[in-house]
Amino acid sequence: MIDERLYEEFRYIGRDILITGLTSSHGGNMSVRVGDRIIIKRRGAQFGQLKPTDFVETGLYTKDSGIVRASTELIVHRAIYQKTSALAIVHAHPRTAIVLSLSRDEIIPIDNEGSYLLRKIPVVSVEMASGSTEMANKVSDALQGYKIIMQRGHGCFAIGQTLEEAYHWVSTLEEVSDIILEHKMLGEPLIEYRKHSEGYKNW
Amino acid sequence: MHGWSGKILDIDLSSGSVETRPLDMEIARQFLGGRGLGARLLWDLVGPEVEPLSPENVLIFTTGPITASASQTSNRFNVSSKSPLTGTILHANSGGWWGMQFKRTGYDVLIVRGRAEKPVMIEIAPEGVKIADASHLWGKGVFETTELLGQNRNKRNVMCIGPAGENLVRIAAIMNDGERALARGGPGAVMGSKNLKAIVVEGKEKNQPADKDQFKFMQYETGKLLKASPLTSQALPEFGTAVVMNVVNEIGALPTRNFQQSQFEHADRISGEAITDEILVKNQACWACPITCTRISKTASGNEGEGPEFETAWAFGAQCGIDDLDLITEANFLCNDMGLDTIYMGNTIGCAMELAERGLLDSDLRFGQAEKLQDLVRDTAYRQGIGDELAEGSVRLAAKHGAPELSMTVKGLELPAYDPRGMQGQGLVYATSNRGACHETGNMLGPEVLALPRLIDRFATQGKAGIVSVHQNSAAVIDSLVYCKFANMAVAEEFFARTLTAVTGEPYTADDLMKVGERVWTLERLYNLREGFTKEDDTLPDRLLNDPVVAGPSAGFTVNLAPMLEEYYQFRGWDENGVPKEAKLKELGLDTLRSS
Amino acid sequence: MAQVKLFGNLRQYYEQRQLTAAGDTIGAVLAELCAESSAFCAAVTEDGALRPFIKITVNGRDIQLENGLDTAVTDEDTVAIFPPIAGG
Ligand code: SF4
Repeated sequence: MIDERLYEEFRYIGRDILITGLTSSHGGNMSVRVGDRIIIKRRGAQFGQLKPTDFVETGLYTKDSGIVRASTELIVHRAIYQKTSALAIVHAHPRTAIVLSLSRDEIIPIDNEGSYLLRKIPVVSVEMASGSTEMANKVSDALQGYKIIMQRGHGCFAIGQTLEEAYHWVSTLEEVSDIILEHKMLGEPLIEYRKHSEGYKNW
Repeated sequence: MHGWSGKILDIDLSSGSVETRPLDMEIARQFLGGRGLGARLLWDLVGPEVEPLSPENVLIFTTGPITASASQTSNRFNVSSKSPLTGTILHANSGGWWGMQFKRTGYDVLIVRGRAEKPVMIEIAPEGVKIADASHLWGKGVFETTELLGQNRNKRNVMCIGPAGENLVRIAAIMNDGERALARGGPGAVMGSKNLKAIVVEGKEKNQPADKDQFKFMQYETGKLLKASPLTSQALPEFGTAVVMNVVNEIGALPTRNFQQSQFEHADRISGEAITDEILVKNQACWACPITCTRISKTASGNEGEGPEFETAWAFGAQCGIDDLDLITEANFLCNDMGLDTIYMGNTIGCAMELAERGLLDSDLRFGQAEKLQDLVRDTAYRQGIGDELAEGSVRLAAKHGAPELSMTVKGLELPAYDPRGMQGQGLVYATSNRGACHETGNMLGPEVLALPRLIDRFATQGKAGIVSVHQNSAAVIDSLVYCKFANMAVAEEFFARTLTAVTGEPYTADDLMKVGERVWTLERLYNLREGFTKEDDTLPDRLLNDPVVAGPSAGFTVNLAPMLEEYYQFRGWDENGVPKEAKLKELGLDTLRSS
Repeated sequence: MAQVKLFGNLRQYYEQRQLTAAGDTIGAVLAELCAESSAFCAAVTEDGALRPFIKITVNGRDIQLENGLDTAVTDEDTVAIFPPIAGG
């Protein structure tokens, strides 16, 4: 089952996601891939209080007994691992990014750090919110070309080689979104300081 | 051309025939170029019945779709063959100028088959392709040959073998542009067995991007990343690759005296810092590279040349218990001139030193004897005295003297400069690498030591297989594009994908590239399985599995290989014997290959 | 006193390459070194945190996997500080 080093990583990242306000107490989830297995946070387990028993191990391809307690979004995680080279996934509900996703098809950072790290975050739209096949397909397809994507009105999915890496993209996305929102509220015109910034639209 | 010219130059030295054949574009899309394309062509051309040093073996030189496009580090090329050292698939790549120049001749691939009756060279120029007599060059060193054939930086580039390749030394390299090496696996011996001394290229064609604007944008973005990263803008130019010597030593993962210890007390004397302080003259770069990691050094005797790289400084240094940087550098220069791979040379000398110290080899050779290095290198290249035994590689050497366990090799290939007892993931990389123990096919130095992209616990084993596999796939596709792996320290696969899209006009995502990498890796695995390699060969020397490190930060550790290997097979979709499952082959489009 | 070793371009800030420090955590050791050379401080830290790719080990163990700047240091320990490095 989950070894101590891996559990510690889940615990720290989970706590940080909660205290930086990237999700509500029970919302969102995380998983890592080990061989042809997935270790995923249990449905309803609290981000800030993760215990070794809060994780479920299940097959990458096959259904098995652990599945009932796994997250409802397991199907999405499976699809992502099957279609991309992700080794870890963080799904969270960053609120400013969600706000932006309601009126945009892509989020293009206007700050330097965000452009440098993410360049562009596509937004995908799915009719049924949680755990549908349609959602699994759309999200995993989009993640083949990007390391973090938004699902409209729902939240983000980020992938990485480690949980920390995926968490980094989530945290960057929310900063990017805050800056866009605040700039918009200020209402002043943007003075472009980046060369070739039009290239990000085609990213 | 936009990425591919679509042409293969096919030369048979036995008959003297020179043909131009079309490149199957379906295969090009699946394998891109470089190492992947080389493996795919080799699969059809060289089966298990072929002896590596017979005329039936081939040398396949491949460029990639981005080669010569002027995208940063687009200078590299690859050679594929069957290895005379290991019997596995052989792939090796090199930078410099030759690869870019060959691409400009208007071919993607050069295949060399057969054996010439007497020494010859091949010249590929706008006026045509010719096979010319090279008897006057036979016996000459690499430096002299390169100069005699008119090496001229951006215009005319020379690739050749030295005496080591001519004498079929199993650890011989092919050298391009004088001092760059296609080294691992002994390709120089294959070239020597064909009586082929040199290949000279001069080209005029251009690899122009299909989408110029997008290409320029990608060049700009890539340049920004290379400049912003302290690794590619500072660390590599300032101290070269050997700057990692001290850190690898500090954590207790620097193999010392044939892996008897994992820390070398004089590591700082052979480190990148020492090279910069004591012998560095200037930096140099390959074509279209802003990183300039290459060192031009000068020894006390006034010799000047490229090197030493980290692996070389380790191989002649810590591995042999030697701390004399000047003599290590001389040995490096001599290897370049003789056309010998420095990693094997140093590793094998270290093995001989241990054999001699244990009284198994009748010789007064001892660890620390820096003054003997140059003679040993020369004797190996000319197969004189003990050099004739060193020329066979350490597996044959150690076995001959009754101590096969003293050969630090996997699948017959000498281990490079990391002791996997202090880097568990690196142990898995060595054990599973298709060309034998090798770090360049998935180096764990990044994640396990340098925190690239993130730091993971170097002693942990759970979850390592995935990281190893992803790194292996990534290295395989970078070798197929062909980019320099150092660029990848600052520039991620998604950039390579977008540049590739701009050059070829065909859409690629980062994950498409990773899929190519996985396909290449799996095909190489299939090749080795067809050659008769099995799960039993996915292992490490006894010393690393059974003898715990005696002192230092890695004290008490051996490599805990079995659980990592099991997880690895599962991650890759292979069965418990390490054979790719049918479903995986289908997914990768390789199912038709196995049944054929 | 713990031994402190500096590598790469960090060597330029002090006369000797082998230093000693009395601090009982990495943070305290860094503070001591910073007090002696502000240039060193600027090269290694930024707003009180380590700059990216600065690597510090205590007896060969990376502090990132221990307690970061709070990692304990005793008199017998060897601390090694590396600037960004790449290669291999
Ligand atoms: S980083 Fe070094 S090896 Fe790579 S292309 Fe540049 S100079 Fe050549």
